[in-house]
Amino acid sequence: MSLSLSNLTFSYSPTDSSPTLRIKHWSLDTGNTVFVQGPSGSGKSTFLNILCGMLPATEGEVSLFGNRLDQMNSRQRDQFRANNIGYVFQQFNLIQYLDIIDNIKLAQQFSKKAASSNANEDIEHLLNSLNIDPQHWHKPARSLSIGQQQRVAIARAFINQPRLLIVDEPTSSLDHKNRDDFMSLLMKKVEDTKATLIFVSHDQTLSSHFSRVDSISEINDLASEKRLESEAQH
Amino acid sequence: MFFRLAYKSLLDRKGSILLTLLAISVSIFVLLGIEHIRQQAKESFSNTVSGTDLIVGARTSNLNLLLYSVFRIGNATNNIRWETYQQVAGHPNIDWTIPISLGDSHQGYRVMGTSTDYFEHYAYGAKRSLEFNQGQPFDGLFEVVLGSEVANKLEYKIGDSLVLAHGLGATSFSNHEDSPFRVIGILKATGTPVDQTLHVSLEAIEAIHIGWQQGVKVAGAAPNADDMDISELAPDSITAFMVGLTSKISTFRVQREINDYPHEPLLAILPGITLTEFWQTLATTENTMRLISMLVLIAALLGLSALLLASIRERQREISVMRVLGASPWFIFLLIQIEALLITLTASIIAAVMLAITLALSTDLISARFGLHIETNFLSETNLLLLVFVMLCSFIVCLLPSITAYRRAL
Repeated sequence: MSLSLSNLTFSYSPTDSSPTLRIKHWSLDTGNTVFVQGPSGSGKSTFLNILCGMLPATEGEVSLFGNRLDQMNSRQRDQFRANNIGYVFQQFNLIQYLDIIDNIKLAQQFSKKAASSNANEDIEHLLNSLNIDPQHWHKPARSLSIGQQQRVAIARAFINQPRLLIVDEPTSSLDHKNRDDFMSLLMKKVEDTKATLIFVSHDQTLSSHFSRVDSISEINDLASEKRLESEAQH
Repeated sequence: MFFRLAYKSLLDRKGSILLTLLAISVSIFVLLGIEHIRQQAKESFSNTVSGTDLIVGARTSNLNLLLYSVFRIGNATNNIRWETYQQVAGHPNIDWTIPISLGDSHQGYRVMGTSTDYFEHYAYGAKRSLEFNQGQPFDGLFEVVLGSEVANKLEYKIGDSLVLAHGLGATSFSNHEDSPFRVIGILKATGTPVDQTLHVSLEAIEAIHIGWQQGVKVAGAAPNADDMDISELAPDSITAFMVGLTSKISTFRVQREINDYPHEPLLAILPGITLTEFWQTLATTENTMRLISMLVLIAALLGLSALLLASIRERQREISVMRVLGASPWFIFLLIQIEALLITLTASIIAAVMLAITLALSTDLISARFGLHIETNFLSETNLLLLVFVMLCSFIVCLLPSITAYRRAL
């Protein structure tokens, strides 16, 4: 069992009596890909932030590949994230004033694995494998189209050979063709690297790519309680 | 990568950054400039005269006497009679005297009538005597010894002849054309007003004024060097004189005796003490200038801080991206501080270059106008410390945006 959350609660302030997130148990096997769906406000981004160690759990256990995130301090969590987790946002994944190469180098910088002597070759190889035209490599990110930026975001997410990939609504700002390109590149890359994937989206049509489909309202006990409450009121 | 990131980020916002950069450059320029000129003026003033125990002139303010006799700034209110000078100089406690007679000029440089004792006893800096670069002290009547700057700027060599002008000012319409002087000696540079002075004998001052009445040349009364007998040219009066005593212990007694001289109102000052008094009167002005330059700097740095703070909001996405890549909140904090530091450092360099250029262009003017020798190299230890202080101020003032960024990164 590679990823597991148990008896987890999270609230934004310690005095807050009503937590945002409560998960009794949730787990995912190494190499699995999961499609997570859920309306906004259901604790989705909190869930992702806890998984990647940006937010510390208020209570409970967060275990990633045998590492207990809940027992690490924030610096250790930052380092763990840099080494083991790739992350793709909805958009604006790149530092707009840096060029493609520098954006990827920045990700290498934070990872302890960066010491590899052929860091530049790794980047070039990765960019080529994602069909990113070399003439764009030294252009600032802001001059690229959103579709191109999202592809570079995949490249960056993979540069440190992460064991876990978190992808948050990556296609919502893409048109149909770019979305399909993005999905096929991403899934191919995940297959090649055997990374574990958590993919969050509204777009149900994408769920067919994944080995498992979860709903955030099933994961977060509080969301299901809220739903039950609202159903009861009706 | 860290500096590269900060650098590229600044470059990306170059429009607004550039203005702030200029504001800080100007403020550092003012701060450094004031500090440098202050130090140099003090040093230059205190180095100008040493070894002279008393300066004696007609009664005026202490400062005025010091300024016109040593620094060639301003004018004497009155002269001293020659007999008075001789009587005082004969005082048993007085070792030597240097008479000074001012009033004429040459192309804006002042001419000083004196005796050869001047070359022997006058000292500056750490009791250094005047030295000749070329030639020797004047001996004949129409011979002149040039300060190093006069010789350099006006390109005079030994043996050249020149004409003195009556009164002061760079262009004069009444010249002592009938009595040209021959350059007999050129002094080594001293960094004091001596460099800007032409030295002639007291007799020569008398000689060139023969046939002049009320400051105007009288036609047909021109003197002829050959006709004149030096012994007949004893001056009627001199402007002031410097005094060296046989023993320092008698300084105050001799000073009091001169001040109480019954036949003519005289004033004797101790140059060191008068300089100190002078600095004390200037202290308030000095401190005000420093305070103002500090405030200007802080205003400029606050501008930088505001600029960075405003940018944090726009950079929220960027901060999130860095965080997700594994950057700690401290990294974000440092990034903002490094950006501030890069700006302040660049501003310091710009200010230093501006100051270097300004000094290179203005030292001649300052030395001609105020007799102050300003060193063009301003990178003294104090000024480097001042720059470190500027960086420290930048760090403190920019804590606000960097802490904001840090907290947004949490």
